[in-house]
This record gives sequence, C-alpha cells and structure tokens, in this order.
Amino acid sequence: MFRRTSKKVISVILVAAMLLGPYFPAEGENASQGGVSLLVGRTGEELTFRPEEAKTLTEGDSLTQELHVPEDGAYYLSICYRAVSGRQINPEAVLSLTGEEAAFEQSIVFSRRWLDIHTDGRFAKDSSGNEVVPKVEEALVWQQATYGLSAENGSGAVSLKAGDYTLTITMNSEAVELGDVRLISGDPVSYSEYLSAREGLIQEASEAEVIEAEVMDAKSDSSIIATYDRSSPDISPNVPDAISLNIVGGSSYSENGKWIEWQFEVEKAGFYSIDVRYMQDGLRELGVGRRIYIDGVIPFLEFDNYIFNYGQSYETLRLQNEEGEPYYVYLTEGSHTLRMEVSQKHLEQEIYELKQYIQECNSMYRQIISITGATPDTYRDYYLDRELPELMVFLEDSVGRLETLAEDIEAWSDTGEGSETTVIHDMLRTVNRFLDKPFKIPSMLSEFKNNIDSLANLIVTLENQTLTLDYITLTPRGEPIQEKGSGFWSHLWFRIKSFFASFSQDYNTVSGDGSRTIQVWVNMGDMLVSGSASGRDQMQIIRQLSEDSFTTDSGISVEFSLVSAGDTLSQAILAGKGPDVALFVNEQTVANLGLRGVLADLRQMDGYGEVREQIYDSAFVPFIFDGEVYAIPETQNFNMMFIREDVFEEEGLEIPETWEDFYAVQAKLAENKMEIGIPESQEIFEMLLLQRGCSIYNDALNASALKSQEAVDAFTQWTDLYVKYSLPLTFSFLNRFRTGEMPMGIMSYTMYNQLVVAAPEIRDQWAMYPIPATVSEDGTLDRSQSSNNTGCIVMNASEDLKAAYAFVEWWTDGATQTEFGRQVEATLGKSARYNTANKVAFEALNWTNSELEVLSEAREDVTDIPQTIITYYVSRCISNAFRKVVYSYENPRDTIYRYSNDMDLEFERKEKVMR
Amino acid sequence: MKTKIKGSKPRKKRSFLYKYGSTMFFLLPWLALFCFFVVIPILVAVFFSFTDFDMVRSPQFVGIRNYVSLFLDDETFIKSLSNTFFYALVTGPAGYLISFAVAWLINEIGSKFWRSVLTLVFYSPALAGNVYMMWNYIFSGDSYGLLNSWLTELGILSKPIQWLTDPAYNSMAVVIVILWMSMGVGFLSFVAGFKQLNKDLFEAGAIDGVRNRWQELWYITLPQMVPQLKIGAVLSISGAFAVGGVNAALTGNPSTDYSTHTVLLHMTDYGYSRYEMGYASAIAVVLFVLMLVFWKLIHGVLNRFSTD
Repeated sequence: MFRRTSKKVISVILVAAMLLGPYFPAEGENASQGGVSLLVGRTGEELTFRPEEAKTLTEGDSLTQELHVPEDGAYYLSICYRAVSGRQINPEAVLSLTGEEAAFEQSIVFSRRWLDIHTDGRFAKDSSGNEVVPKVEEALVWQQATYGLSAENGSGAVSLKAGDYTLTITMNSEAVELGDVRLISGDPVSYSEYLSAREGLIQEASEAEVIEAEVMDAKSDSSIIATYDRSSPDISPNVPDAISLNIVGGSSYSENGKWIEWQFEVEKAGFYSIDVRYMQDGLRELGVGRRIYIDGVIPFLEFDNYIFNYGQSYETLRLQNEEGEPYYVYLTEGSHTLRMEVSQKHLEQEIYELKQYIQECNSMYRQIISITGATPDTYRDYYLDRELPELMVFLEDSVGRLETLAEDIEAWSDTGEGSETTVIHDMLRTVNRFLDKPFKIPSMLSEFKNNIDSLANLIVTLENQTLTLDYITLTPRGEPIQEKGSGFWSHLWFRIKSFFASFSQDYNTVSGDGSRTIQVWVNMGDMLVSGSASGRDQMQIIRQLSEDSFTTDSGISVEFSLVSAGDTLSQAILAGKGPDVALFVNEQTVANLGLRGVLADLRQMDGYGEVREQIYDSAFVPFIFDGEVYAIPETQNFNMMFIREDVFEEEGLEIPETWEDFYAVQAKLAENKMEIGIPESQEIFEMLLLQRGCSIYNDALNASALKSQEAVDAFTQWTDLYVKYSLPLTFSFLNRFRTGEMPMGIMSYTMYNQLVVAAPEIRDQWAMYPIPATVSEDGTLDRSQSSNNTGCIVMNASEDLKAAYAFVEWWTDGATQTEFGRQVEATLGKSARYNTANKVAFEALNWTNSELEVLSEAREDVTDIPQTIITYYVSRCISNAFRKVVYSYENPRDTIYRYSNDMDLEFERKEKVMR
Repeated sequence: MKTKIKGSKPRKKRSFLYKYGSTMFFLLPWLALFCFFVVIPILVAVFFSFTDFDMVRSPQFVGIRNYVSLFLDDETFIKSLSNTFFYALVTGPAGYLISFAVAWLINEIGSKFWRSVLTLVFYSPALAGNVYMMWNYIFSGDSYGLLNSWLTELGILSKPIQWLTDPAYNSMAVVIVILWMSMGVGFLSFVAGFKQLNKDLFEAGAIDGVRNRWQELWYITLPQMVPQLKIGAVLSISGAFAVGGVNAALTGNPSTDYSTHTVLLHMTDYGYSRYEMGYASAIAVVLFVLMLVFWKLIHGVLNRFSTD
C-alpha cells in the first residue's frame, strides 16, 4: 500500500511540476552533445526521439517534430530550455500539436531567470541612508517548464488519443536553446496523499524561518522590484527616517507566469506551515492565484493554484484548506527554495471564453454596421433578423454562454456574486432585449458596443492578478502564527517620527563632494505620451541613475525639480531664475529660447561628437539654428500605420503601400461602413508636403513656401481626406480600433504602448506598418514624414557650464538612456515604453525583432521641418486654413494662398520686432 | 482771535496726519500689500506698454507705437475686443440676473436644510474649478460625443458637428458653459443679502398697500440689497471681461480663426507665445481702462436704486 502511493508521489512530482534538477540534460549525456531530445514518456521514462544536433531557436525559427503517443491520456508538455541573452523581455513562442483527430495551439513564454545582486543579504544604501533597488543580472542556466497544449485549456492537461502527432514550436520573439522536450502524463497528487507518504517522519523543528519577501533570490522578470510602504511600523522592516525596501509585488507581479524565488535555510527537519503576510487589493470579489513550488516542485495539487482573497491591508495568512486546516510541507535540514508563480488557472478558461466571445461580438458588430452604419437611422427598420440570420443564432447562443460565464466566474468569489461580473449581466440584458425586439437592435447599437468595451476591460481586470508580499514565515507544526501587530500608540509614534523626519529628508537632491552643484529641471508634460504617470516616477529614476553613476564619478551634486510643461520653464529662464539644465523641452520652447540667445551651443560640449553619432539625425533638425545646436534630442515621435490584420483578412484587403492603395482600401472599408482614423493634425500635412519634396518654409526660413503647386496639392490632398473621403475628425482610436469599426489608422507609434496594455483581447490581431507613400515621378516610393521631438538644453547663464555639459553628456549617452528606458518600463509597465531618440537605447528596448525592423525602417524616412521665429503663428494658420476648407468647403487653393500671405506678413513683422 | 486764526493754519496742515495718523498706521499692512501687488504692477504695465520688451534684452522706449498698432493694425485685437464685448454683454448681465433670480428663489424655500443644499448645488460649478472640462465630453466632435449622439439619435444630425472648433458653433458653446458657471461669489453674496433684509419694512409695505411680490421685490427688497448688488456687479464685470480660460480650455488657444478669442487671450498670446511683453502690456492697460469705464457706468445705474 505504502509502496504504491510513494511511487505515485514520485511520478507526479516528476510530471506535474517544473523540475529544476533531474530533468536537465545531464553532463555526459545530452548536454555534451548539445542535443535536443523530443521525448514522449510517462513518469519520465525514456523517449522516442533524440536528434544529434543542438537546436537554438531565434525569432522566426521553428522546430517541427513527429512524435508518437503510446496510449490515451491527459498530457502536458515539458520543455527544458536555456534563454539566450537578449532584451529584457521573456522569449515567446507558439506551440502547435496536430494529429489525425485533433489540433491544438497555445502561445507559451520561456521565462528568463534574473538574479538580484545583494550585499550582505540585504540592500545597499545611498548617501542619505535609503536602501537602493539592487542591480539585476541574468542567469543563463537551464530551466524546465511545463505547458498546457491548447489555448482553450490554458495550463491544464489535454486529452490525447494514442497515435502520431506533429509538434511545432515557433519562436515569436527572442531566442532560446532547447533541451529535452517531453510529452508527459500523470495524475497530480493530493495533499492527503502527500501527507500519508510522509507519515512517520520525525518532527525535529521548533524554530520558525522568516523570509523577507523583498529580498528575492531569483525572478522571472527584471521588472519585479522591491519597493517600500512607509505607512506602518508593522511592515517589516521599517524605519521612520529613511526608505527601507520592505515589500515586493503590486502591478509588476500580476501577469500570468511571472514568478519570484526565495532561498532559505532550514536548521532542523520537520513539517512546516507557510504563513504569508500579504495584501491583495486588486480583485475585490475574486481571489488571485499563486502556484507554489518547494525546491522546484509543486508538492501537491492544492498548491497548483492557491487563491489569495481580497484584503485592503496587510494580514498574515497560514496557507490552509477550506476547513481551515493548514497545509504542512516536509523540509529536510539544509537549503531550500520557495517559488511563487502568478497563476490565473482558476480563471483562464473564463478568460479564454471571454476573449472568444468578444471577438465574435466585434465581428457581429461590424456586420451590423455594414448594414446600418455606425449611427443608424432610428426611424428605419433594417430587418436585421432577416438580413443577418446568423446574428440571431449568435444572440440565442449568447444567453447560455454568458450565463455560464457569469456563474463560473462568480463561483470563485467570496460572496457568490461578483461586482466584477456586472458587465456580463449587462451584456446579457442587452442580448435579451435584442432577442425580444430585433427591430430595436439598431437603436440600441451603442449600448451593445459599450458592453463589448466593458467586457474587454473585464479581461484586463481578471488578468491582473496583483499580490503584494511583505514576508513569509515557515512555522514548525504546532506553533501559532506570529502576527505582527503593533498597537495604536506605536503606530502613531511611528507616523509622528516619520513626519518630522520628512523635513530633513531631501528626495530631490543627489549630493556629491559639495564643491559643485547644478540644477536640473525635468519638464514632464512634454515627455509623457501615454499619460500613465505623473512624472514623479521618471524623475526619481533619473535621480537614482545620477546617484549611481554621474555624481559618483564626477562629484557634482545635482538638484532635481519637476516642472509642469508649458510656460513655466521659459518664463523662469527669461526672468533669470532658470536652472542650469532642463530635460524634455519641446521643439517650440527650444526655438523660442535659442533664438533669443539664452541657450548654450551644445557643440562646445566635450562629448558632442559621440553623442551626435548615437542619435538619429532627423531628431536634431528642429534644434539647429544657423548651425548652432541648442538641444540634444531625447525623445522622438513619428507616425505608423496601425492595421487590424484579422479584419483585413476577413474583408480580403491588402496592406496599402501607396496613397492610391490607401484610397482603394478606404473605398472597400466605406462600403462596409468602416472607417480609417487619421487625426486632424499638422503632422499629416507635413507628411504630405515632405513626400512631395516640399516644406512649409523656403530654404532661407524667412518666408512661407506654401504657394507652390506641390504644396497646394499636398494641402488639397490633406483636406480631401475629410471633405471627399469623409474621414472622421474626432474619434477615440483605441476604442474604435478594438471593435474593428476603425481597422486602420495613422497614429504616433506610441499608440502601440496603449494598445498593448489596454486591448488584450485583440492581441496578435494587429500590427504596425509604414505609412502610405507618395509615388514620385521616377516611380520610387517616398514615405517621408516629420517627427515630434523633445531635447535637453543648457542655459548660457549657467554658473558652471562645464558641469552642466558633463551632465548632459552623461544623460544623453546611450548607456544612460538605455538604463532610463528600461527602468521606466520596469516601474511603470509597458505603457510607459520610452520613445527615445537614441539609437543605442532604442534597440535595447523590449521590441521584438520584427517590430524593431518595421520601426527602424520607418525611422529612416523620418525627417523634420525646422523651427522658425513664427512657428506659433504657422500652426494656427494651417489649422485655420484646414478648418475653413473642411467646415465651410472653401476653395483649398484660395485658402492656403491667403494664409500663406498672412504667414509672410508675420515673418516681416516679427523680424522687425526681433531686430 | 487773531492768534487763534494764525495758529490754526499750521495746525490745519498738520491735521491730516494728526487726524488720520493712527488710522494710516493700522492700514499700513494692507496699504503695503495693495501697493506691492496692485498699484506697482499696474504702473509697471503702463511703463512697459510704451516700450518694446522681449524679456531678454532691456526694454526700448517706442512711445505710443504699441497703442497705435493695437487699434490701427491689429485686426485680431479688434476681433478679440468685439468678442469680449459680446461675452461681457451676454454673459455678464445674464449671469448676474440668473444669480439674482436663483438666489431669490432659494430664499423663498422654507426649509433651512434644502436652502443650504441648493445653494451648494448652484455654487458648485464655480467652486469646482476645472470641472467645466466635462463640457468637452458633451460638446465632443466625436460621433459618439454626448450632444452629437443625442442629436443623431433624434434624427436631427446625420454627421457629427465639431461644436468646439467650428466657428459657427463654438461661441454659443462657450456662452452656455460660462452661464453654467456664473453662480459665483456674487450669487453667494445675494443669498446672504436676502437673509439680512429688514422684516419691518415688508410689514410696513404690506400696510402701506404693496399689492404683489413684484412690487415688494422692486420697492423693498432691491433698495436694501444695493451693497450686495454692487459687489455682484463688480465681480460679474471683472469676470466677464476676464473671460478667456474657459474659451482656451474648450475651443483651443487660439480658437479657429479667433472665433472665441478675447482680449485676455490676446494678451497672453502676445506675452507668452510671442514674447512681446511691451505689446501685451498695452493690451493689459486697455483692458484695465475698459473695466474701469464699465464699472463707473454700472455704479451709476445701481446708485439709482439706493435711496441715500
């Protein structure tokens, strides 16, 4: 009896878990030959296939293998891999298994392994005694992971019939080295089985082991960083007068598959319970899941997806079953590892179903509007039930699907009813009303669309498995939870002390040796593209970087201030109260200040030559006046064409290369009442001008050049987009792109950041393409476009120009910019990807190779239109001219002539004033 | 007698300080602040209005050139002036009357609780600062914008209207928003004014034959409220002439073809976008004079109510 169970235990450990030890290609076996083994087996037994050659898969590569499944059963795939050094993102691949009767597909992630570099088991401190986030280092070691085979089943096992199958692994991003790939089966062990297998083992332990969660040993993403919560003395450790890093988690530890690993020593063998002090303030009604590994193995089924319930403050929980009996794990004396991996297993079926459902809804919505248009005539009956019989079928199916979905999700909620599922019930109501009165569908279309949006947002909510950890205690069996709870008075005393300490703390200054100081203003409003942050985080990152390298190396102290965008900076500078250096200043402010002689010519900077090499030439254009360089570019924005590839496929459309193609696509889309999104922006006009080889100004930059035939053509083409082709003037691209009613748009490439984060339901269904080109007379395609830049400036009046130059040289260097970009993305998430103008930093950001290729190619055609003394006036003239034509249908040629004259007059007037 | 007269002359010279010395002393803090923050800036603006000043180089004296080009060369200024008058004449009096009417109606409510609640409700748009930005959503040019989608549903529109950027509509939109915000401090002073009315006078009026509420309002309430009415008028004039922030936030700065451009926006345009401080100061001086003249006019009108 005992023998059977123990054998089963071992088999399950081998099968259901991620194994760090035994599955690595052992020395002298596969590893020495570097061979890839594709194995099928049960309980880790040998194999059907073993190739001779090593296999490194880079982006776009794929590995195809025939394999034979000997008997029916539920199978996982276990892959032994080693990440190849690259960007910080985890390598991703698509797994497909096709057999005679079944075909599965699943996207998988090979997580990297990052190590925190600790000093004496904790963190290094800066000059003010604050603990500093440690540096990370990637460990390129062999790892093993198990994956589910189908997207529908998520990480669960898939039933396979005996027979022959073809397995394909296609890399989507980054590269890995593949070791053994095994198809494995087996039933997981339950806790009672786990326990009875360990009956009779002796309990020697009596001391609890405490693991501070912020002191991580390894993690899957460099973005999982220790942070601090200073609100209470109960959060361990905490001091009132300095920052001690004391928690880890939050939004960086919420995505499926991310994990943190801690190493700890056990002094005496025995059974231990796991007490976790945590806060889960993300999912109110539902719990978040964590998969718990001890020494690289999930010890029993219950730890495969342990649910942490909602709680707004920190509390200590002993991991236990529903009856409140704690789970004990047996630990031998010595070193062990504990790993907690984000798991959404309890919700993954629902999320999958939700994604499918939304896709079908959007497709239905597009079919409806292809008949009714986006704003249907309420007084007309469209007979949708007769025109679209499949719509009615879909709606009838929907009722059951939505009810099941809501029930399944609510099953995981504490109270049995979820505020999270309200949106599903809303959709259900709408669907029922549609079924009741099909003739009312057109008039309730916007409600339908809003419900689709809300369902899509529900996915974002459900996938966000946020958990924040303070510490984890391994307590010997029989000992109570050591709850840390100080009383009201010590709480109050702590807050009073930290309040007074806040007067002496300076969070904005980095102190060097004291002899030289420069002031740096960070101008956030112009830098923020996604609007996801206040700018304070970015400034703290710059401060930290400066502390780590600039001040340490040069001894120069730096005082940082965050200023809001707009006039503050220029007014302060003109009043003589400005800083030495200002970062992220927009083109127009640089021009205004530079032309008035307040800015230093940065060609005098020591490292100018090297910096210039590293930065795209086009980004310099707006910052150069009469050969003098007034700013070093930091960010550069340009436009890309965003396309919903699924919709294009559905409609049989091709990606437009030229404007002629663009109009053809527009006609096809308009037939089905779909739209194209091009914002009403001067950039589009500049794009059309540049593609014809024109500019707004003449070469001497002292008069308008908008009267030439080409310029008039460009203007006419621009206004025609809205007059003849009726493109919408105002729209939310994100929302319409999601539903697919606007499957194409020309947008700043930073729209990518928003789409990635806010629209998970259309992931992999859209891509960026270069903007449409104008065909020139010799038949070549011209894709020129202007860009939108910010740069950093140095004031002429600075008392220590040398120090200011040194700072700018350090800051604009590729290495610093890379580190800044990485940290911003790590801290604030993908939506804050840095739109850098630095080549080195741009390539080091987390783009996939194919994205990088498209963007780099587009950037080659980017140039810019120089700034002049009347930029402020030109922009309003162009927008007024545009609106005259688009709103009042005036003659484009007359209109642009008139405003071109106005511009010339302003040039004259301004030159007189400036002299 | 003679000595007395002789002695009284020098005493009379001293008497201003003698008589008001302590008053002046106690006024000193306020006077200092007033000079520092009001008088001096106005004088500085007047000085700069006769110069060319780009904030970097030192100001150049140019005589009245700024004023000449302001009135003779600058079409945009004339346009902004006419817009300002339009807003002042439409929103000033209308906002003033609405505030007064609402305050009067609120005063008629018996329950003290509901009176306070309604006062808060009507005052909140002015209190809440930038909350007028929500009108961006109502007047959005998106076909899913609130107003556009309503009108489309009703079958009135077939194509979205750019309420805030189309010169045919944006003035109207701005007027609506300004009126919505007009229940400001003036409104509060009206509410307070209604509370301190002398009850005896109403009784006396009833005995003397007041026939209806309108007569009561006109002959008894209003004359008692002159101080509050004056304050309200000052605030509404300065408010009406200083219109600009709402326009810029809603319709863009500058708006399409300067359709909602006001003198205030013209001033900031020259000051901050073009760095022509001299010219901007000239605009400021003109605006100041305008407000002064209008206040004098209103003052005259309101004094007619006043019995003393």
